[in-house]
Amino acid sequence: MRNRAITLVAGSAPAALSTLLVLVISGLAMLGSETTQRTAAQMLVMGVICVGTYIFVGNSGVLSFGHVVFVAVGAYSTALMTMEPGLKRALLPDLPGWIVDLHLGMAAALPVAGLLALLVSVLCSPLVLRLDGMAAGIASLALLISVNVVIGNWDQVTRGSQGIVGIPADLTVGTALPWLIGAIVLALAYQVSASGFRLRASREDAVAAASLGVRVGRERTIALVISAFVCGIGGGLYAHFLGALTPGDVSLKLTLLALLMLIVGGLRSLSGAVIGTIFISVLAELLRRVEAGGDFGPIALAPHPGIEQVVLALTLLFTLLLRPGGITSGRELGHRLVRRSSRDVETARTEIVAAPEPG
Amino acid sequence: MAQNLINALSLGSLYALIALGIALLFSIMGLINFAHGELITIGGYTLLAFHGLPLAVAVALTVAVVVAAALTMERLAFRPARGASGETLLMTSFALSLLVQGGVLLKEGADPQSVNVLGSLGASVDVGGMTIGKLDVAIIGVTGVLLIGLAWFLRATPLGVQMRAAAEDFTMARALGVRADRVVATAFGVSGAFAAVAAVFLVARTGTLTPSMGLTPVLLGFVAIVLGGLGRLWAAAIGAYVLALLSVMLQAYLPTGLAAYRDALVYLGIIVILLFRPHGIAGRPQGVRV
Amino acid sequence: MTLLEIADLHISYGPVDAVRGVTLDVEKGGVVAIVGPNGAGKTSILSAVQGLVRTRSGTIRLRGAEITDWSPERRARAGIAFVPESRGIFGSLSIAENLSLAACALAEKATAAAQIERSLELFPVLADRLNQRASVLSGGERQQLAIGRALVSSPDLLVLDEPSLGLAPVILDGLFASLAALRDEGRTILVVEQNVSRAVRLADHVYSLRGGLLERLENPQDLVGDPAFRAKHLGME
Repeated sequence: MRNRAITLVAGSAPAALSTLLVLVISGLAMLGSETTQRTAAQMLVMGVICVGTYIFVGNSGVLSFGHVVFVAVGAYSTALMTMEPGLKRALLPDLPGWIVDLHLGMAAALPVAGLLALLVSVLCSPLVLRLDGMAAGIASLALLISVNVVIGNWDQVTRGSQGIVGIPADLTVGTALPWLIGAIVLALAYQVSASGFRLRASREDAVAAASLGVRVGRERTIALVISAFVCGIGGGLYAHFLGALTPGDVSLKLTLLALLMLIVGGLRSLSGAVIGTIFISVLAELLRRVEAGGDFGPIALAPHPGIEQVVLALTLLFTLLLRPGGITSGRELGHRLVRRSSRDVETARTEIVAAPEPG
Repeated sequence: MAQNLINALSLGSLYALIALGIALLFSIMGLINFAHGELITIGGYTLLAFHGLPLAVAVALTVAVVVAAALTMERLAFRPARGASGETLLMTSFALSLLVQGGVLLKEGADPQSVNVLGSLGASVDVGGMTIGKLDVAIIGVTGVLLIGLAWFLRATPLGVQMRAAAEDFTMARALGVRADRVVATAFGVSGAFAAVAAVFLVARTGTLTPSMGLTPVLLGFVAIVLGGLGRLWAAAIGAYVLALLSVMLQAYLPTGLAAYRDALVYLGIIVILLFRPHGIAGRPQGVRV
Repeated sequence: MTLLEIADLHISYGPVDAVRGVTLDVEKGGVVAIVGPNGAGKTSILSAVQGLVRTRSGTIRLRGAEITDWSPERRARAGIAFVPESRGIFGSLSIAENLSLAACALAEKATAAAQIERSLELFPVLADRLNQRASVLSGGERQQLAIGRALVSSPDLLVLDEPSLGLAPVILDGLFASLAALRDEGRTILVVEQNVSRAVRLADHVYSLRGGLLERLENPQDLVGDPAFRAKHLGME
């Protein structure tokens, strides 16, 4: 019993420390200028999206380019729920009446958006059940592109490539923060659950895990729906951050940004998702300021569009080549605190993956 | 109808060049090279830079620059990552893709630029009542020559045989003494040369350049490869022609309401193929690579 | 002269230790056989000699030069030829192409044709079918192609993994006659073999590998029929 309590306390250390880190950075940002606060809000939104993606990608080891689909579902559905009915009637005259009349606050709309994304993920689950590795990667990319084409042409609901405007752009650090903390807690709860444990065992060695009775497909589906729920909420927050949505906002670019954050932070730990988000957000903001040009004390810079992308790409490249595990290298924050319990996990993992050696 | 067929052949040739460039690397080292699109971008802007020189010279220089770029990518990014998982290689190629795109953005700006490389190829000829663009003839002809050349190289030269062996079982090929560095570098070189020619044809068809111009071709290349069957080299070329035919036919005969969703249908079709026929539409399970 | 020296070799797959401190010398012109139950780590040792698996610690030397960090192709060019348990035949290539592949490990490319000719004399069944795809070959023919191909590179050391696996007894006689002929030519052979009686007849020295540890067998001829020996060293009842 006591052992289990220690494991629980120790196991929640990464969430606690990640949350603390987010709180400190957000607190610092709230002392800053309006621009700084806006950047911090964006960071928190990306945090939710990255943690959501991590729940599936990090635990299963299956690369997905498709999670932005769930973000898109969450973003557009939140927009349709929280916009002024009058504005909706003007922008989207063909929308069914009951959707036009719907007028929820962000806090009420987000869980609904999450559930809608979850429903979509159930439809997508055959992809993760039947496909592995590269085929899964290509399929998820194809899914993202086809959904993007639909969004770009479904004039009655998304207003096509013109996009939706007039979403209440009321997201602040204060209103975004609780959702990120909630996402971190949910991710941790999944990670320490029996399903999360089995899924990570299958990530290390799918064949061995399957031979020990782990139903990989089932565990992947569980991770996928939780992950989609969080991504859907992230999408809703994103809509309220932007105030306007076009298909380009939920395209391959956003997927790559989220994966960049995850990989640089460390794909295989929750702390990695959080640290990667913070690191890349801060770096990107600095680069954006350099890119825009202007006077920085003694140094004057001309605008150089492209610098942000070049430096971020180099960051990703050097991470992949020099530190493939990312900043955290697969470890959780506070892993020294939990050395004891993680050794238990390590032992259990070894038992699971100890397949007969070849020849 | 015949007009559509010529169109599909020309488009299919362009797709085949792109798809083969990607499939060659995938079959040998399991790399899905997203940065292949950026090789095409580099080709396009190189052509712009050499605009004014005789077409043959400009094309030769473009091929040289793109091959050099492909070899540089191999040496600096993919060789250190060799042996890593397919996912890591794919992300490495994404990083390179972003890097080149950012670099082009820095140097050339985001605005589309136009270039007319056609010259006399812009004309068309009348054959039996049909108007056939000289460009289409050139694309079909040059691609044909390149495909035959590649087939000859893979069949008749020791390096070609080594590449085919490496595509089937890279480890065993190395155990027999096949130099991994040389085979991979050759594959990148061929891939780059094909990308350069594809860039010339693409720019000749559209006449516009943007820093992200490589994205659509590379995605179409992936689609062609999946259609043909993952990991099978010549199937990728067949997939490319099938894709072009489908695309031209859908464009011509799809009701207007659905035409806007054509690409969505194509990509959904890809998912269905991956789910139910992972070895391609006409394929059967073969070898170990998936 | 010692051709191959393996010293204190350790190989792990994740948390599993497959080979735990193996030391083994192969004399030039000698034939060394390793026997042992499935999963004992035999294949791991051979793979390490060809450079196909990462070793955790220990050294491998060829003619006195340390090759532990060499790439597989460099080892092939230095004179090691490996015939894996799966035979490593390229099914999409013709038989002639399969044979010609090994020529890239030859120092003098000009001798390639003569080398291929020699292999075809040794295994005449291949000569009639040079332009067929290797995927049409039967199990026995595949093994002949694999060994014939290995010989094309004129190797100093021939490394064979389970050459008898999956072959009919009548084919085995021919195969081991060929191997004995190679031995009598003065070739150096390192072979992993489950068929103990054949391994014992072929080899100068026989080792038993169990649980990743190697043990030299004295007078292996006397042990072949001994049930206690078979139970202990081969995991057979």
